[in-house]
Amino acid sequence: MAELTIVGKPITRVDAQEKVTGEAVYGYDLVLPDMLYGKTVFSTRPHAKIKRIDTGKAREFPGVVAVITGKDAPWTHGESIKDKPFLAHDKVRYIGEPVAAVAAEDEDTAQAAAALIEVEYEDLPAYLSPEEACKPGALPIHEDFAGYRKSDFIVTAPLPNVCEHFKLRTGDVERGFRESDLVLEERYTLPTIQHAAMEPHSAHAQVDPASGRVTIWVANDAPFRALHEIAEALGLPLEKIRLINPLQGGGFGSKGGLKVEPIASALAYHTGGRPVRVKFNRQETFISTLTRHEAILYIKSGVKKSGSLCARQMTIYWGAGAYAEKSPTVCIRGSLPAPGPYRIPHVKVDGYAVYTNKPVSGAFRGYGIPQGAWACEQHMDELAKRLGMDPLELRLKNVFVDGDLAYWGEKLHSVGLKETLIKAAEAIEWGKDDISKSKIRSPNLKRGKGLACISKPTRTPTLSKAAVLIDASGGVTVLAGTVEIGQGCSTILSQVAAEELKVPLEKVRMAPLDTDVIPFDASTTSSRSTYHMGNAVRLAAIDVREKLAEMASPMLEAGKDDLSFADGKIHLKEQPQMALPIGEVVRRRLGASGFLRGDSSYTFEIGKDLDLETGHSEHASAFYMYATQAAEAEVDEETGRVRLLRMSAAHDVGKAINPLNCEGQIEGGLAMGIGSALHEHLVVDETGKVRNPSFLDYHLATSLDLPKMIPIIVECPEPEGPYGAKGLGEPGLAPTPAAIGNAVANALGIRIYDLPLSPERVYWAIRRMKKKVA
Amino acid sequence: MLRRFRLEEPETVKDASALLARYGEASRIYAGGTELLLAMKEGLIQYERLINVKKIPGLDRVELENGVVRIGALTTHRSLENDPLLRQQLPAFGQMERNIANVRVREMGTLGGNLCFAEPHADPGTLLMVLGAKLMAEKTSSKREIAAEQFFVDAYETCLEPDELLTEIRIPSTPRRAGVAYLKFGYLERPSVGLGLFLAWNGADTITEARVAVGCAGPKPRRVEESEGLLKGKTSKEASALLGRAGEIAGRAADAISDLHGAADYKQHIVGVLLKRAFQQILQDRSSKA
Amino acid sequence: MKKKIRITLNGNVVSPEVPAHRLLLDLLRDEIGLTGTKEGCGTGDCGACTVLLDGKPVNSCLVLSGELDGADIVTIEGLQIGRELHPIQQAFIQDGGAQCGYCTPGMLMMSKALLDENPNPTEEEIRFALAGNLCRCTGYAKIVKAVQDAAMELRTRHTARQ
Ligand SMILES: Cc1cc2nc3c(=O)[nH]c(=O)nc-3n(C[C@H](O)[C@H](O)[C@H](O)COP(=O)(O)OP(=O)(O)OC[C@H]3O[C@@H](n4cnc5c(N)ncnc54)[C@H](O)[C@@H]3O)c2cc1C
Ligand code: FES
Ligand code: FES
Repeated sequence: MAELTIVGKPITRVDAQEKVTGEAVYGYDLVLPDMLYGKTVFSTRPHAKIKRIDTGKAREFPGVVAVITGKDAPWTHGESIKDKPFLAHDKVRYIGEPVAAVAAEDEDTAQAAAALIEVEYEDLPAYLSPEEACKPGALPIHEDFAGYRKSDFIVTAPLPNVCEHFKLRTGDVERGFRESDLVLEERYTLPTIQHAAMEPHSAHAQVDPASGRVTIWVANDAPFRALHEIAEALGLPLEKIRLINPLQGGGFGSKGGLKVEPIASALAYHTGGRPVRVKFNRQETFISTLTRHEAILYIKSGVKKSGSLCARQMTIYWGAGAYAEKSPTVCIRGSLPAPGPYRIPHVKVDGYAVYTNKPVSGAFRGYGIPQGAWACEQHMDELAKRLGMDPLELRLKNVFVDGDLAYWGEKLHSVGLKETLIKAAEAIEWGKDDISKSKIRSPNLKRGKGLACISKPTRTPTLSKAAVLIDASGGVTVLAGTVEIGQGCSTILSQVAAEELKVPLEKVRMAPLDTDVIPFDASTTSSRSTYHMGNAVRLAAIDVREKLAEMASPMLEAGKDDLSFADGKIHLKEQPQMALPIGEVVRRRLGASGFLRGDSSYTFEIGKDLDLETGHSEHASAFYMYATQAAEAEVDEETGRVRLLRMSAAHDVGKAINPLNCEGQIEGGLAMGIGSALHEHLVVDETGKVRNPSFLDYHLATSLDLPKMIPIIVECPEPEGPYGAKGLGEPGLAPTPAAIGNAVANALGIRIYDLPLSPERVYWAIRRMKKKVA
Repeated sequence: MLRRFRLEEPETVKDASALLARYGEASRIYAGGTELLLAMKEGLIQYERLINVKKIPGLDRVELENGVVRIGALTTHRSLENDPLLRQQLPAFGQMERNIANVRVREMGTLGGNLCFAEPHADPGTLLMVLGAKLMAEKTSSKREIAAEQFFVDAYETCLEPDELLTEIRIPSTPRRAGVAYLKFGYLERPSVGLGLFLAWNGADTITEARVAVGCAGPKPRRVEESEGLLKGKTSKEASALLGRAGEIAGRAADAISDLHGAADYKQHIVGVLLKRAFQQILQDRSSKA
Repeated sequence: MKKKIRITLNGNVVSPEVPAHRLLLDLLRDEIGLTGTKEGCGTGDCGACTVLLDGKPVNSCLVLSGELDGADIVTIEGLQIGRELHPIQQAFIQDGGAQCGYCTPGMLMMSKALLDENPNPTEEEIRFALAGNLCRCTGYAKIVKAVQDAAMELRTRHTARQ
C-alpha cells in the first residue's frame, strides 16, 4: 500500500469549528417556517385498559390545531416485531407510553391543552421483572403476540411474555461439568439504565396535503431503517417519505428506533400541511424513550485444576420493557458471546428477551456485551480465586488467539486480545500491589485491582453505499449515510476520501444527511461505520479516482497507469511536475458546474445465516473488537464508597485512522462505563413509575467522579477493514463495570453481584461479611 | 415550561410583605429562583404573582458587628463562598457554601432562598444550628428573631408567617477555643446526609460545649441534645471513646427516611460515621493550629 | 403581561418585549433565535444552557427574562474575539474537547467564567468548576486539557501585551 498521508494522523475534527461557535444546528434547535408545537400525553399506568379518552376540552382550547389519540393513528411498528402502536390503542403497557398528542400554535398552549386531556383506565396486573414475567402462568402483556408480524429470525418459547429465545449449543455441557475439577454457579444482575445523551429527543414532521408525501426531521441514528419502518407502518411507498437528519447531540443507541417520530408523523396528518415539532423534555426523555436492558444472568462453569475451561452454561433474562424494539437482536447478539472470549469446548446458552411493564429497552452502546461481561468477567475472577490463580494468568491461558475456533463455530483471525490484556494490566502496575497499598491513608480504606476483557461482534451482514463527488474547483463531497452522533465519523470518512484522492482535508465536505439524496446505509450502530462505511467511501473514492485518471490521461498524454495523485493534483509518475489540479480535469471535461461522481456499495458476505437451533455461524460478525480494561479502586469500608484511583483501557481497533478520536471514544466509553458501575440506575418503583427521571437523581459521572484514565490503542489489523481498521464506538464501556467489580472484590474479599456498586450496596455487603466472620 | 404569572418588584421589605398579605397564597417571594422556578416548571406549584425581592437594597451584605456576623438573606452562595470576612470568621461556613450545588446555582441561589424553601436535602440549616444562628424575620408591622432550631417545621415548611420575609441570618463568631465542622455525604446531586458539629473547650481540654445537628436524612434538620450531653464535660479523649454511642443516638434522632438516597438504616449509620469524622477533623484543625 | 427590557446581548443592545414568565433560555433560543445555547435538562442540573450574566455564569433555564432590564449577557455566539476564535474555542478544537458538541457551548462559557476569575487554575480547580456541566461523550479528560491549554495561551498573550 502506498504511504498514508492523512489516515492514521491525529487530525482535529472537521466539525469542531461549528460546534465551538454554537453555529451547529441540532434536532432540538430546529425551527421550521410556520411550525406548530406538539405536546404528548403519557400513560400514568403501567398496565391498563384504556376505557375512555376525553379530548373535548383540549380541542376547544384556543390556539389548538389538532388533538389525536390512538384512534387517529391505527398503525403499529417495530424493528423485528410489529407490536408498538404510534399512540396507545386499547391498552397501555408502561408508565410513559404516549396515549395522545396535541398540536398548537405555541408551546404554552400545547402544554396547557394537553393537561386538559382526561384518560380513564382499568388497571391490569403489572410485571416489573423479566424473570417474573416469563414464569408459567403469568398473564400476557401482549395478548395478540402470536398474530404480530415478525422477522424470520424470531424464535419464540413456550413461556409467557418471551419475545425471543436465543439458543447456543456447542458440545455437551453436562459432560463438560463431569470432566471438570471445579464447578461454580452464580447469579448476576444489572438494572435498567439510560443513555442520557445531553440532547433530549425531538422530531419534526410534515405531510404535504397534495402529494401525501411525509417529511420527517429527526436526529435518528439509522435514518434508512427509520424511514423503512415508518413507511411500512403507514403503508407508504418509499418515494413518499423522506427523512432529514439534523445534527445529533449524542445518542448511544437511544436515537435509533422510533420514539418521537411516530407521534410527530401522526400529528402531521392533522395540521393541514403545516410542520409540527414534538419535543420531549428531559423528564419525558427519561420515561418515554429507550433504556438499556436490565438483565439477570445465571452462569455455571466447569474448569480443570490447570485453569482450562471445560464447560460454561448461561441463562439470561433480558428485560425488554413494554415493546420488543431491538430486544430480539440484543438478546441474540448479547447472548451469543456472553460466555466470554475464551476457548470453551462445551457451551450452552439460553437467552430470553421478556416483555415487562417498564419503559422500552433498546439499543445501548455495547448491545448486550456489558451485561454478559458483568457476569462472565467477575465469574472468571471467582474461578481464579478458587483455583489459586492470578486472574490475568487464568485469562491468558484461555483467551481467544488467532486461528481458534470460537464456540459459535467461527474461525477467528486478527485477535489482538492478549495484547490488550497485557498492556491494560501493565498500565496499572498489575502485580505490584504493595506499592499502592502502602499509600493508604486510613485503616478504613482498602485498595484493590481488577481487570476484565471482552470481544464484541458487529451487526452482520449489513450494507453501506456511498458516493464521492469531485467538482470543478477540486472540492470533494462525500455522500454517506453515516450519522455524525459525536463519534467523529465525518472526520474519519473525510480522512478516508482525502487519503484516496490525495487532497488536503479542507477540500473534503460531508453532504448533509437527507434520504432523498444520500445513498443507502444500514445504520450508524454496532461500531460498524468505520469498517463498513469506511470501506464504502474508500471504494467510491477509488471509483471516482479511476474515472478521473481516465479523463486526465489524454490531457496529460499518458496512459492511465502512468498517472499518480498528490496534493490535490494528478501527475505523471515519472515527471511529477507534469500535473493538473483534479478540479481542472473536471472543468475541462465537464465544465465549470460539472462534477464527477464515483459510487460504491460494501457489504461483508457471511454465507449462511446464524443457525437458529445451535446459534452457530461461520461468520457471525464482519470483524470483532477486543478490549481489556483494568481498574484500581479504593473502598471506604465505613461508608461503602468506591473511589477509582486509575483505569486503563486497551482497545484493539485494527488500525487507528485517527488516534485522537480513538482516545476520545475510549475515554468517553470509560466514563459511561464508570457511571454504570458506580451510579446509574433508572429506578422503577413497585407501581411501575420511574422515580428518578432527572439528572438530580439520575447521576451521570461528572468531572470530579472520574479517575486518571489511560487509553491504550492496540492495532491488530483486520485484512478486510479499511487500512486494517475494525471498530471502536461501543466497547469502551463494556468491560468497565466488571473490571471495577473485580477491583472492589480484590480490595474487600467480597463479591458483589448486582449493579450499581453504590455506597449503600457495598456497605451492606461488607457488613454481611463481617457478621459472618464474627 | 412555566405557566404565566406576573412579576412584582417592590423596593422595600415592607412593600414586599404588603404584597404577600394582599395576594396571599397566589403569590410568592422570588429570590434567586433556583428552587422556585424549578418547582413551578415541574408543575408542583403555581403562583399568579412572583414578588422579586432582588431590587430591595441592603439585603445582600455580610458584616461583622459586635462579634456577630450578619448575612443578608439575599446574599448568594457564590458571594458567601468567596467572602473574605466569612473565610476569616467562619471558615466552616464558607467551606459548606463552596460545596453547595454547582457554580451556576450558587451564582443565583441565595442563602435566604435555601432556608425558606426548607428542602430536606440542603446543607446550610444544619450548620447554622450548631453555629447558634438566629434568623431575622420581618413583615409590614413587626420584626422578630427566630433561633435556627425553631425555623424548620417540616419538609418544605418553615415557621415564617405567610406575609413574613427572612431578612438576615446572624451568626455569633466562633470563640477562640472552639471548632466547627460540617460534613456531608451523598452520591446523587444533592446531599443524602449532613452533619454539623461545634465543640468548645476550656484550657484543661474539657469540652465545655457541644452542639450536634443532623440534616438531609429526615424531613428537617435538627439538633441532637442527647448526643451533645454525652460529649459535654468530657476530655477529647473520653469523648472520642463515646463517639460511637453519640453517633448511634444522632442517627436515630435524624428521623431518617428511606428514599432514592438510601435506606433509613444506612443513613443512620452514615450519621454516625460523619460524627466521628467531624470530631476527628476538629481535633486535627486544633492540633494544626497549635 | 409583557414588558420591554433593554439588554446588552453579545455587545449589542436589544430591546425585546417579554412576558414575565419567559425564561432567558427560551428568550434566547425561541424569540431571538440564538440556538447556540443548549437545553439539556431545563432544571439547573446539566449546564448546557450556561451563559454569562453580568460576567457571571448562570443557568439560563432558571433565569426570568422579565427581570433582566439593564443586564449584560454573553452567549456562545458572543465568545469570539472579533472574527477570531477565543483561545478556549481554539483549545477545544485542538484537544478534541467536543464530540457531539451539545455540552460544548455550556462548557466553553463555564470555562471562560473560570479563567476570567482564575487565570491559572490547577487541574483540580478546573474539575471542580466544571463539575456541574455534564458531558456524556468525552469523559472530560480532553475538556480539562483544553481548559489548561487555553489558560496557558491566555497567560502568554497577557504577558506579551504587558
Ligand atoms: C441543581 C441544584 C443542586 C443543588 N444542590 C444543593 C446542595 O448540594 N446543597 C444545598 O444546600 N442546596 C442545594 N441546592 C439548593 C440551592 O441552594 C437553592 O436552590 C438556593 O439556595 C435557593 O435560593 P434561591 O434564592 O434561588 O431561592 P428561590 O427559588 O428564589 O426561593 C426559594 C423559596 O424560598 C422563598 N424565599 C426566598 N427568599 C425568601 C425570603 N427572603 N423570605 C421569605 N421567603 C423567601 C421563595 O418564596 C421560595 O419559596 C441545589 C439546587 C439546585 C437547582
Ligand atoms: S438546561 Fe439549564 S442546566 Fe440543563
Ligand atoms: S460532547 Fe457530547 S455531551 Fe459533551
